[in-house]
Amino acid sequence: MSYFTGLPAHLQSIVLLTAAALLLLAFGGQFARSVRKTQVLGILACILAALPAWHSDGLTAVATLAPCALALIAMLLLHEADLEFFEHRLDAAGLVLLGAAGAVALGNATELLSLVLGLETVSLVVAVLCGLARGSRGLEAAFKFFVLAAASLGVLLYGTALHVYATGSFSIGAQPLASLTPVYQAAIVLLLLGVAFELAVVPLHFGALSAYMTMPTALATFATTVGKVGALVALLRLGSQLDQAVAGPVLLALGTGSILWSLLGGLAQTDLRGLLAYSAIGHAGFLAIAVGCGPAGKSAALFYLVTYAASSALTYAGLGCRGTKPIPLDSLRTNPLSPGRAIAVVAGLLSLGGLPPSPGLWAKIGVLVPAWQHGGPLVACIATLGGVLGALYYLRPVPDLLSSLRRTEATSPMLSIGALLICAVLLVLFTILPWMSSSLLDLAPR
Amino acid sequence: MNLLAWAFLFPLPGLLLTAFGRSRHAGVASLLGPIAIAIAGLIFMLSDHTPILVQIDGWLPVLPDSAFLLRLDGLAAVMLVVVGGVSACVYVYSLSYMAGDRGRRRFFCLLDFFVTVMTLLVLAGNLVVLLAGWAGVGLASFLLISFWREKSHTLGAGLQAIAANAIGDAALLLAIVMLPKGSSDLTLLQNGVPLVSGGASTLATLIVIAASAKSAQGILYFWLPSAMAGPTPVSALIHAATMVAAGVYLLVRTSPMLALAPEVLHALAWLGAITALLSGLASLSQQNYKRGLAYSTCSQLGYMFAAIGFGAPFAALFHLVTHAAFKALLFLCAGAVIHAAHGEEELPKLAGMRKQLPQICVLALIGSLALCGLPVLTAGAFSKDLIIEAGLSSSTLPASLLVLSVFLTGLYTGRLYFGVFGATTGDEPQHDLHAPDQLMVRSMWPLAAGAILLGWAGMPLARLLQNAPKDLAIHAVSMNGLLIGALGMTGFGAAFIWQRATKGRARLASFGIDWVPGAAAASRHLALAFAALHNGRLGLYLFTAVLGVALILLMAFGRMG
Amino acid sequence: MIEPFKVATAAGTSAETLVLLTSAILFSIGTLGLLLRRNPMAILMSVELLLNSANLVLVLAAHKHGYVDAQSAALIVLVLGAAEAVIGLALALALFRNRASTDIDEPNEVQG
Repeated sequence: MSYFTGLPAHLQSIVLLTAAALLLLAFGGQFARSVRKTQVLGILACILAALPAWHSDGLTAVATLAPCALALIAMLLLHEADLEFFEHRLDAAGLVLLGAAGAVALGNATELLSLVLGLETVSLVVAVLCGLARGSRGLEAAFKFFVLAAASLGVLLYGTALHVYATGSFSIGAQPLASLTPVYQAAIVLLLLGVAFELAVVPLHFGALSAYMTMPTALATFATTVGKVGALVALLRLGSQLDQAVAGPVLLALGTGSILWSLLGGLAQTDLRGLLAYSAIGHAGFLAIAVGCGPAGKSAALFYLVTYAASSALTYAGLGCRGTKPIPLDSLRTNPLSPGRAIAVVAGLLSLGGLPPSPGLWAKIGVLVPAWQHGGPLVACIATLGGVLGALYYLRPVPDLLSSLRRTEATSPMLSIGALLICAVLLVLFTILPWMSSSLLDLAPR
Repeated sequence: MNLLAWAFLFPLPGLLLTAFGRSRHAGVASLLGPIAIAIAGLIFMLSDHTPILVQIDGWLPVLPDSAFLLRLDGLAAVMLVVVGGVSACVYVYSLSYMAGDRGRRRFFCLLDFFVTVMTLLVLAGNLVVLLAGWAGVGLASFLLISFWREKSHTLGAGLQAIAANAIGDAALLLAIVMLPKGSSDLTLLQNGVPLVSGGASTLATLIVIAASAKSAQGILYFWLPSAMAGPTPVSALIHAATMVAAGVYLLVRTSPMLALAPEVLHALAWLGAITALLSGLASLSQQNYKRGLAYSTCSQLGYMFAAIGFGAPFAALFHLVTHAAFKALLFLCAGAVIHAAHGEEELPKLAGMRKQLPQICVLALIGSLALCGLPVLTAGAFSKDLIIEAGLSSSTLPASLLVLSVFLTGLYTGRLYFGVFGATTGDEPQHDLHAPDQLMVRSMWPLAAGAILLGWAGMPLARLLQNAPKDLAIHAVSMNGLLIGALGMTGFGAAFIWQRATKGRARLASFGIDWVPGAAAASRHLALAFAALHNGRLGLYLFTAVLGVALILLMAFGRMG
Repeated sequence: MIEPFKVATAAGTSAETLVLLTSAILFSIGTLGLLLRRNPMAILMSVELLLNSANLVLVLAAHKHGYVDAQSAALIVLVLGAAEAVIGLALALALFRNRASTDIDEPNEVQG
């Protein structure tokens, strides 16, 4: 399906999302006074934006459909977003759509300028969303995220400029002048680092960590994942054009560092929110390792990405009603979630931790295979140990969640249930029929 | 017949019925699963023994070996009967044991989940499917250990189990990852095709590490005694009969491949023998009834490991089967005693149960004698003797350690038995007992029958497995067998005298260095140190980020030269 | 980044290397500003320095390759910088309005 003939699918999505976002941000107050109307408009925009990319090839499909899906889930949960001012939900909706547009642009960029613009849009959207949260903690985290994002934008832009200087072109994959190869390689490393910020890998993770810890749970999936989607696909596109000898080790180092750091940091957490934030860093590490393995890691990286997104979405959707308050691990028994939500959080945590029955395990094995072959035994061993020992913190809340399953009177709104169901169905599909998900997304190695 | 290979799905209807059915009879429906599984195993045994294969190609495209492979053969069928049979008994027992518990429905759902993943592990045809079951039983074990969250130490005990299991999972994952394309099929491993470029020994080592984590061997023993924090039926089913035996099952499955790495096999024999000896000693120092039994499980699993090290996988499997019956029986007896004493688990406070629980006393005696290896009359004698014979003919030194542990086995079994059921001395606390009902007692009789009769199943078992040693003889009636049995009974008798002399307070001083608390504290400090870096100071964040970026740039430029 | 420096010392100072060097120095000043300054405004200004150093290289590239797109990209970067400043200033203002000091290390509630 195509709205504007002659325009590539992803551009059509970007146009639609941006238009809807502007509509909401500029004129929202005029026609969408209730949260419900905003949600409906946002959901419509997400679905319409996803349609043009439905039949495109693997990378484009993931880079376009995944942000739309994440925005859709954020829209479904919008009424639970715990913001400083009630009216800001409308702005949050607009920002979510804008962020999705940015991620689509980032993931589909074939030249550096749209990469920079997409990345900047996503960063700014996450920073502002974080700042809209209730309480002063959100604002503080937003400022920190913003400063680190701005600094990494500087690095990215410097890399872009050096790239143009060395090759005379913005397009990814342009060849450098022979005398300027070192400059070109420096540019590539800077570009990788700039994009890796959006993936939130160590040592560029501090801002993201603060932001994830304070984000309202209803919007947290979007914030933690949408940048990763865009950045990962962008790295895959960059990576296929790059000298593996330089790019590979950089990404592998970033990845192993993130896995170790998130394992240790996660073990120290007493707050479920902090635990999930560190988990996001660790998963970014796995993604970085998969990309660092070059073409062999491509399908593994995409499969990991979609399973991670679905698991994280399920977990945060289950916690959606908890707003921005801390969720101490030992409070889950005294202050239980409703049974459906508790089960959703358990399923999400198991999948994040790579435990069966969940697709997280398949995704981890998928990344470890190329990591062994192309990254070497050391990387594979660290990733394996980091991955399985992560269970030590993912499982800590699980007995409490399960032992507090009681029928409660509280009913969840239909839209929240819808979001939970979408994520749950996706997870079940990925578990039982992993081949189907990958053939749908055309990930299978040919 | 293909349906039989899907036996791991059999508990699902019961699980759904238990989860969503009426709460008064929660758990009864779950009983369907284990019975169906045991029947599936029996049907296979009665058929013509052609392995049943289920293969779904391209199931997991990101892997080199992408097929979903199930395989039901003789070995799997034996395990199905063991898993199904023991869990059926434990389910019936739990109906009574958990009758008053608020979390009864959850308990049975978790048990169903365990049986599902355990059966998947058994039926797995390649390593990926096996890993799913392998990690799944670890998860089920964790959830059941920390089932009673209101008890303070259950979560910590569960996490210990997860930590040990994670090491095993990591080893198995690495084994999968390093295998080249087309070789993670378990039949290939079973036929001993040399697969790995770096030689079979790396692969064999990884598999041994995985197995010892699951079966609590060597330094990875620590989680099993702690796992006793869970409900006793769980200890009987998961931490005595089935899950902890999964390591042995994996080793038996891959034993032809292990045989390609003789040095690993040799180390395995030593590992098993030393574990058998030391955990036998450790059992003598336990104050807690269940922990005493747990160390005994470690010790008996050590026998099985040693058997594989001796190159006698059949003996290991045989001991696995008999051990499943008598150890589950002993745990269920312990559960009945503890249940009767309102949750009391300390040995001196449980003394003098013979008069009050006569039936349990008889059942426990059957279990204990089977564990000590009373010749001819009990099953344990047959299988244990087979292992020691195999050891004496291949590597004498580890085998002699095992002979020594036979005496220890008698001693610790007797200490536990006479400590609880021994003659009263008059100064025990008087119990206001909560006597076990008939359902509970009846669920234990099939296991007792197994503990007596399974010894005679050796020959049919050997025929079923086809690759069992040709010259298999039942040694229990041989001279050696009788001597070993006599040694075990001497230990049992010595324990009687010891308990009488100490008025039921026989206990060895605890020994050894426990490395686990140290390691846990160290990792906690390291974790806190890392978390402390995220201290809210933007200046530090910027500094760390710039430093990290500088390091990465240096690394990258270093590579460019 | 090392190579042009060598060129500069070996073959005399060309205009091109001078510009590159200037941009590298600007970038370093920006980085040092991020590391050493404690005032949120100074931090934001350091970020602007980073962006402008990139702009310098972009203009240089346009000159070297006769590539006008790079010059227009420099304009886009200016707009980006402005957008950043707007959001950065807004966040900083909202965060530090009710605080006695303007030390960026001061608000540190989000830890762990």
